[in-house]
Amino acid sequence: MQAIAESFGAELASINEAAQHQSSEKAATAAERLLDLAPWHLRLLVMTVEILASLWCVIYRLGHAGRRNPAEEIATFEKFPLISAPLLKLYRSLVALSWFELPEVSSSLGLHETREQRQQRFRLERSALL
Amino acid sequence: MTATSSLHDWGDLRSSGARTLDVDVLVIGSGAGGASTAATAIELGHSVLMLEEGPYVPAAKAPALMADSFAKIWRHGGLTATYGTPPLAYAEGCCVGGSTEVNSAIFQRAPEALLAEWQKNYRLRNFSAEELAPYYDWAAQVVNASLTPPPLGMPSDLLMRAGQAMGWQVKQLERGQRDCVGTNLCALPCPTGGKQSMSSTLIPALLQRGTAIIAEAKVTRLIRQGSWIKGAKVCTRDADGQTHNLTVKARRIFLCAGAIQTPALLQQAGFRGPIGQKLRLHPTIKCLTHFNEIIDAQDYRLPLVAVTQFMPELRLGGSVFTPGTFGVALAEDWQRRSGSIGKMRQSAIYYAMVRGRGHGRVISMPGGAAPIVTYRLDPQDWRLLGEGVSRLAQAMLTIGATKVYPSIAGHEGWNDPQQAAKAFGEKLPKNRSQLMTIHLFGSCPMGDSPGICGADSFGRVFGAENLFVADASLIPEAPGVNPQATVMALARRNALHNLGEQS
Repeated sequence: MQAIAESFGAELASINEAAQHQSSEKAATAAERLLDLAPWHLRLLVMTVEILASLWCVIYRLGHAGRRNPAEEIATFEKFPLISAPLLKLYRSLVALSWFELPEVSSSLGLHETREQRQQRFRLERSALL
Repeated sequence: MTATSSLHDWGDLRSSGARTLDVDVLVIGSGAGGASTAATAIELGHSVLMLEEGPYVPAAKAPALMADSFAKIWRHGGLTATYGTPPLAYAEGCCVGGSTEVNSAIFQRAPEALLAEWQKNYRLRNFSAEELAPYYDWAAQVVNASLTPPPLGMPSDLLMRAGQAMGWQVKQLERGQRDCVGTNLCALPCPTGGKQSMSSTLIPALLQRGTAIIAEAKVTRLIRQGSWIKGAKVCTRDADGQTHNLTVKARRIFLCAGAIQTPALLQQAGFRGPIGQKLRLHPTIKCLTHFNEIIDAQDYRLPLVAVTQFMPELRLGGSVFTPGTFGVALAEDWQRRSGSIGKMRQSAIYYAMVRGRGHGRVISMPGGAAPIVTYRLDPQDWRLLGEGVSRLAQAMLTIGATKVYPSIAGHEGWNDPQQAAKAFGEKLPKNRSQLMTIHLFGSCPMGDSPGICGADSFGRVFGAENLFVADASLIPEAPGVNPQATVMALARRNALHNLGEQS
């Protein structure tokens, strides 16, 4: 999950390294929390695919030694035919949902207000109407 | 039992550990159907206990981030999908107020022609548009169904311009809102109380009248003795997080747990036949749309206009847009879309929604475990979805969009209207299309034909004397419009029939 978040950061030139690291951790935690809430049959499916894909990665690495960066790790995982693509898509969606709304990321996207600040501004605006 | 009735401080609405309760009317679920049923029962002088599986999240404590909202008030963290090709993501609210807390509160009546068709096909008594009108009027009044005052914002303006450029009918949709300030956070839920969800309308009124509501109370099974339902076994969680088993005995029970949970509970209690066999929904496909100019869709209301030209079979509209939903749209095909990461402020998300003709199944699991849901699209659904994305893309590109990515993995996106027009009539790839829905129905259709219906014309479950359904499960087929108004109207109508003098 964290590697996926880091791969998002790699595409966003305006985010600094510290913010990227911090946001990756937070997004990975949030994504794992959502995955824990999934219905039992989906979790079972994910677990099965994870085991198969992990085995694939181990076998693949045996033939391709050397240290890899997160993007390469994901690329290795993606090479596992058929099964890894939907799993990666699910993980990416979960991580993206959280990562893009974190303050350190949204400021890099050009937003000058955090989600919390925005929400509070609207609460005040509506209470002024009532 | 902790279930205070103070309007300003409801407490946490959780059980403090009572073991057995005996009530007149038990309402399971607190969404549009449950709240409407309970409000009507109270008016008729009954004592009511309402159980809600999810937590109570007041507007003042609404999460600010999509991921937190999913974790807190969406069933299974929003990770719910039908099995089939393709899997279809669906969403249900799981909190006090049910799905009315996570929807956009769009208020639409079911089309008259469809009501007439259902009346005939399902042998529905007293079901003409004219006969349903008073109940729709009641629902409209409860949620203050009204047009949001302008300005509606850029995403709405763009869809209006796009539809008009193509010569289509485009209309602003009525919503349940009161002094909406346009947070674009309807799904989190609304942090200001401007959206007139059940937790902002009927539920405060119920509490004021002394109705007991227990949140975080999951019904694990119904207690059945032949055709009489004695009550329900419930698992509750108290303020300290401790779980307790509770038995609720009731003379009349209303199942209002939504189109997935209601049939699952019925099946567990031994009610079979058509129950859970014909789940209907509105298959929807989204389009991530980029413009040259700054749209700042995250700062405006979600589009409150829709292309109504092709309704009820096809509707083109706009989705909630936040940085998180933008991220999810990129993640659908990261390889091709990652380069758009810096274009958030120039983007918006629109959709094509069809009145699904396909159907699915709800398969219950023992012990109240999450049911398995399947769905298969009809060939006509595929055709209409393909036409829908093509039309939507043509319209957006005509008014200056620079790129439209339909939710199809591996799709390179369309750059000009001609390119999108060429795709009209082409079949969408089944394996690569990413579909979703927030509208589910038909899993316990109502009508006087026991062979195809799970409940009679007024929601009484066939084979049960005192068990009623009052949620979207009753709507026999996909209506092609947002279902909240119909759910409220039917719940009102059926509660008056089943609990009033006629009962």
